[in-house]
Amino acid sequence: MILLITIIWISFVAVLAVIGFIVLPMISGVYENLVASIMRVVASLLLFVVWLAWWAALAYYWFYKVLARR
Amino acid sequence: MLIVALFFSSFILSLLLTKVMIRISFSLGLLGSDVHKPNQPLVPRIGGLAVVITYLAFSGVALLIFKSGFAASFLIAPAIAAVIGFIEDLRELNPLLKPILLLLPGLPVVLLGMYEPRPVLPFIGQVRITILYPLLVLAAYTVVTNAVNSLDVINGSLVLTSTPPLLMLAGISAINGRIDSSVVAIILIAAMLGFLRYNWFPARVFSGNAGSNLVGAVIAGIAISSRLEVAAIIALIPHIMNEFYVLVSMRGLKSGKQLRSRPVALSGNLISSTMSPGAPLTIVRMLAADRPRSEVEIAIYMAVISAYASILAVLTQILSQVI
Repeated sequence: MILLITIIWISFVAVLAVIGFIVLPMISGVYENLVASIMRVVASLLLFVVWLAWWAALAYYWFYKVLARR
Repeated sequence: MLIVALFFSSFILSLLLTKVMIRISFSLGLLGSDVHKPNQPLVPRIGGLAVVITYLAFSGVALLIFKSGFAASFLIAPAIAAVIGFIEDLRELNPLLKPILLLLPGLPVVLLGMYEPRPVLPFIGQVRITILYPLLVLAAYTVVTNAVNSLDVINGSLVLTSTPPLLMLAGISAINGRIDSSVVAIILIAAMLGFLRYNWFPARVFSGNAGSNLVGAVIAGIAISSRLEVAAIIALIPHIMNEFYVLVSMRGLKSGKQLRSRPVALSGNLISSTMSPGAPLTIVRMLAADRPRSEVEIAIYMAVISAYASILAVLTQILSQVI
């Protein structure tokens, strides 16, 4: 369980870093057009959803592996 | 000295009020069955009101003393969340309506502008999300209150799993000069410890949704007002994991009564995971996966993983400031 939380933590920080790089141009002080801004936010949210799906799959894999051992 | 006085006063008032709530619950018939005991005894289920009253009284005093302008985050939002929880304690809410109602505590925070729309991301620094941030504030209240509520399933688990994130937030807030955030967290911890005296195994009282919603709203309020959003998310990984897995395995927002099969089964005094693929994947089910465990063992294990997640949150905060 501790290992699972550690993996989730590392992947969360990594995803935040990637999202940060996607959002970064929005904070450079240059006001780009609205469509580009929306695209960046949507891309960030999509990345977050992919991470959530991976996270759930990992937990299920871990759980049934432990259960099978029992 | 003042903080120590507030801590002990909150602890004592909560201890006394919990006893009063037990009596009131019995007289009003507000009881819930303790499903993790062989004979499933009926237990008073509005004990969390003791935590709510103690917290609101003492944090109100503290905010006046420290001249904090964050009453919306530390008083109004938690009070709204507690009222919604209390309504749910009296009558079951529609599982779709509940998360919508829990957007309400975030409204005063957004309307009064009690936030900074520049969260600090690790390795990146500040990001400006002026339009998106208020929406995230509303979402944060419903996600965090539901997540904290979802781990209040074992005797003592609400207090044991909420104390490490609150301690982490109190510590970092104090270091960052946000004494008001730190003090409200300490008051809540003291109030919860007073309540734990009667909620620890074998529980003589349950928190109910009023108590757990208040705890979630206070955590969200501190995280937003002290700009510790990322640290709070990491400290709440076990809570969010639990809520998210339940949502995924139940395929959406559904009431616990709609469960096709239970995630855990009781054999004597031990809790074991069921093999049913249709049962939701919860933290308790995961902790009892390798072998059956006692309720106390699971509660302590939950506290350990919560403390570990809070340590990771501190580590992330340090990394964010160093790099």
